[in-house]
Amino acid sequence: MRSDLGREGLMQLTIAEAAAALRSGETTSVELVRSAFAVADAHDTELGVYLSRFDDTALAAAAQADAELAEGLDRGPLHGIPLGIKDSIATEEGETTAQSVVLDRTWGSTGDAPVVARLRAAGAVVTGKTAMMEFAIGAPDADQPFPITRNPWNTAHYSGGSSSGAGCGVSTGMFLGGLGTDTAGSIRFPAAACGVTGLKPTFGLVPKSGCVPLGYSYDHIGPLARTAQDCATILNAVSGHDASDPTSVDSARFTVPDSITGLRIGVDPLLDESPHAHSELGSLFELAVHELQAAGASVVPVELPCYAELKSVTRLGLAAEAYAYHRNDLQDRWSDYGAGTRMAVVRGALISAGDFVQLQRVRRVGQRKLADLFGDVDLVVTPTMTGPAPELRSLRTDGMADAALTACWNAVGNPAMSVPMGFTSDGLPLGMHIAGKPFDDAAVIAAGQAYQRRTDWHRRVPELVRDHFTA
Amino acid sequence: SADPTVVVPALLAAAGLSPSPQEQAQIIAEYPGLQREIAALHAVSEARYEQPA
Repeated sequence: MRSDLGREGLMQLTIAEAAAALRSGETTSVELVRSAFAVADAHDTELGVYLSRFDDTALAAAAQADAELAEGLDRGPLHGIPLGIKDSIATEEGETTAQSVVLDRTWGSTGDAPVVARLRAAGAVVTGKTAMMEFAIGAPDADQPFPITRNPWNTAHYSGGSSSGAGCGVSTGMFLGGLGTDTAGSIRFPAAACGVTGLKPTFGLVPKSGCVPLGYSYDHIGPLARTAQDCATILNAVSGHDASDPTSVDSARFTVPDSITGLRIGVDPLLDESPHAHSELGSLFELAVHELQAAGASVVPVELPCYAELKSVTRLGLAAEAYAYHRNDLQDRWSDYGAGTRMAVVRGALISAGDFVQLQRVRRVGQRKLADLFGDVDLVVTPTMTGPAPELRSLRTDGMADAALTACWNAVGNPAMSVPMGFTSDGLPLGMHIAGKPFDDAAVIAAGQAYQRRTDWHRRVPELVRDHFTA
Repeated sequence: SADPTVVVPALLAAAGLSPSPQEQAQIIAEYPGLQREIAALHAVSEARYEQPA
């Protein structure tokens, strides 16, 4: 562990480093959790990460973790680690809101979602529920009685969403990792915008029951953390079949390869899809690809097949599936929804059953063409977004959807991760996107790890909290 | 192509939805773009004999 860190500085550690410090006796879980809450006490009024905090139960769980570790009962690398949970995922401590006044407050009252139960079984400490876009769609809404999460690198900008609190909370050290959901990029967008790592696992790898749905066949639950290695640790804890989610599959615990030597990486900067890309995006992306080459991968230019079609499939398909879930409440409580949410979901009322089936046929075409591409390469890298996080005052739902280069992967289910790849000259993070074959999440993570061994973007801490850490 | 000022209010009424006049105007304005996006997916030639998943 780095001995120069004060108590709050503990929250600059990665999960792997904190796990080592817990076992060496350099810190305790109680100290980690107190440190996490100290950062939140100092900054969350401004940043809007938490919708609810579980101070008492978290400290009790941390004390139990410390006692177990002292007795030699070691539950693994998440034992005693503070994690934040997106507020669309049920936890036993209290109500789940999906950041909406519409959701029935008894929803989720049967206890932990399977993913949360698995984290607890691994010894993780749940610190609270994190902010999001209402029902994971739409846009931040000042008219709603919930916080709007700000970007920790520049609070005039958005944190990205919809897993807003998870991205900002990891970046600032309010927890060392988090669970988010991703239906069109809702893990990868805030990860890129906040300068952290976020992984959308292969569809089916992680059970989604106990999570308020947006688009049933596009939704994924996945981790956000400082590093790809930490994301793998969380993913290993939460993945695997659960009978409550018929789309979930059995999965063996996977090991991430140490080296990417010989890995074949296809590169598509998606320039045709990014006519308004930030001027510094291209050069930073080139440098990031160069680091993958330097780590031993071979790099070839590729063109992602069906990119525009699959992006449309996700946009339209998730609206149709969301409309099925929200129809009755939209009829009865239209004005209780945020404006951005109801206007995004209402698109689903304008899509015919025949149109919906056609989306599924195009998905199959996209899957087959991508399978062909992945016969030639192991991974595909692109930028995550066309630019940094947008300013809050200029936020539009469609503008965010156009800026994200992530949605096509939700239509096909392949694993995809965003890693920080540098900063614009005005100090906002940008992300590189790494996608792989279905159920080859390990290769995606391996590339992220190899990249992060050669760069330190993931170690950067926003100035806002850096001052707090060194005070 | 159908007239969005006729189709959209009819679809919303059939669905039992009651957006404000301003919101309905916005949905009507966006409807042609939505239909173009859907038409592009119906035009994917490789999907002609594809089974839906």
